[in-house]
Amino acid sequence: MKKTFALVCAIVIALYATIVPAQEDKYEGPNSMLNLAAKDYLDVPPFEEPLIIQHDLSRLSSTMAYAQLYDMLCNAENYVGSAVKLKGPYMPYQSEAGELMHFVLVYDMQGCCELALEMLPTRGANIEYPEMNTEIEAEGLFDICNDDGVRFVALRINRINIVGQD
Amino acid sequence: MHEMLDTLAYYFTFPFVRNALIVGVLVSLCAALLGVVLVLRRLSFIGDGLSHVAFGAMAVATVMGLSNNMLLILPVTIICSITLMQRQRDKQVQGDAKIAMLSVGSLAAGYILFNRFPPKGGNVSGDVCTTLFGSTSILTLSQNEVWLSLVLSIAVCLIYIVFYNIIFSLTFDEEFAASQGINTKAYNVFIASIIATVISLAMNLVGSLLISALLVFPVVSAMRVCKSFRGVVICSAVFSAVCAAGGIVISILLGTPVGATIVASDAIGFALFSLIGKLKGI
Repeated sequence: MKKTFALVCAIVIALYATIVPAQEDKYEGPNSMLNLAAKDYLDVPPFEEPLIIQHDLSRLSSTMAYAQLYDMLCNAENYVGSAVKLKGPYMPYQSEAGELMHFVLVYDMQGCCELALEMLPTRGANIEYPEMNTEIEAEGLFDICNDDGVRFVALRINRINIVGQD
Repeated sequence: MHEMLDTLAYYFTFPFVRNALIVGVLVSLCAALLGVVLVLRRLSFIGDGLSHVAFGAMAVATVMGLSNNMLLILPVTIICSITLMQRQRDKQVQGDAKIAMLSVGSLAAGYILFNRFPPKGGNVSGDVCTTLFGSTSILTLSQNEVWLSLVLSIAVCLIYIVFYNIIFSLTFDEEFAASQGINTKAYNVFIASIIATVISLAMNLVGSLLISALLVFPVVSAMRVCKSFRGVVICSAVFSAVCAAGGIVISILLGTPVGATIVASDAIGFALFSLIGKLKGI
């Protein structure tokens, strides 16, 4: 009787784990957590400089920088509005809709895993992006954005610095 | 030195670093406790075999899109652990061959599954590399994973303490233990389940390929300096915890892979203990 009960419980748990899919709801948050009145996720005014950096990933070891960015991507609510500084290769990406997106990559120490943080320019920022894989430094404010129900995180930037150039 | 200490103090302000240290120390401690049983029963390679089975189970769980991979990894690893640790009598496939077959078969199957059904938006080689070598897994634990690791580690430690005498009997003389009325079959299944649980947890710490180090190095190092079973158990637990903590700290300071750094710390510790043992004349 006990064995049968245990077996039934195990089967029910296994079925629940396998059959019930992970639910992905449409994100209904504001278009931008930094600008709650924004009608579109791109609409954020420029921030005052110089920023007081709260999370400087550029001075961390590769292990720590990777882990810190991972924490920021997984627990984004804890970092909204904080000033972040990143250093890494620049990576452009064209979406299926034809929109050109801009990312800064952070690699782990082995170089086989990378995390990308999208950079979104603030309103009126005229940024000249370099060639792909150019080492850049980006300082900005961390934001959570809503693109037609799709939630994503981004770094709001006024400008970027190319490492090695004045 | 002062600068390094300042950097370390700064790193300790990160919650994921504190979580990694707590989980790393507890999991390595559990691994060392159970490693004593495995090493003395000449089953050191079971850790390797089970970790590869866990990798295969993780691949299946990823393909199935499970929200929590441990729901599949734990039961599969436990079942395989029980199967491998059962005594073989007049079977065509002996114990060590069974471990080898399960180990490489699971590893190959897991890698094929990852390649054939890659996780959505994922990086196959990166995911596989991280799982096999544990480069940053311990630093990227979710809160649920931290709590699960904590609860299971504490449970394993308590079980070991409560059943210490029975574990001692089963390790050295199973027939004598059976003659004393101990249900050796049931306790072997119980120990096999705990070993599988610890190995599933330790995958986050050092990765699948390096788990044997967590099981073997502390015990063999302790046996260089301690003569009694209790001494070996305590010494290996402390050794493992210190090396795990030291390995995590060194890896975050120097930017080296966490799993490999912990294993390297274990290896250096073993060399030191061997030297001490030789000087003591043991």
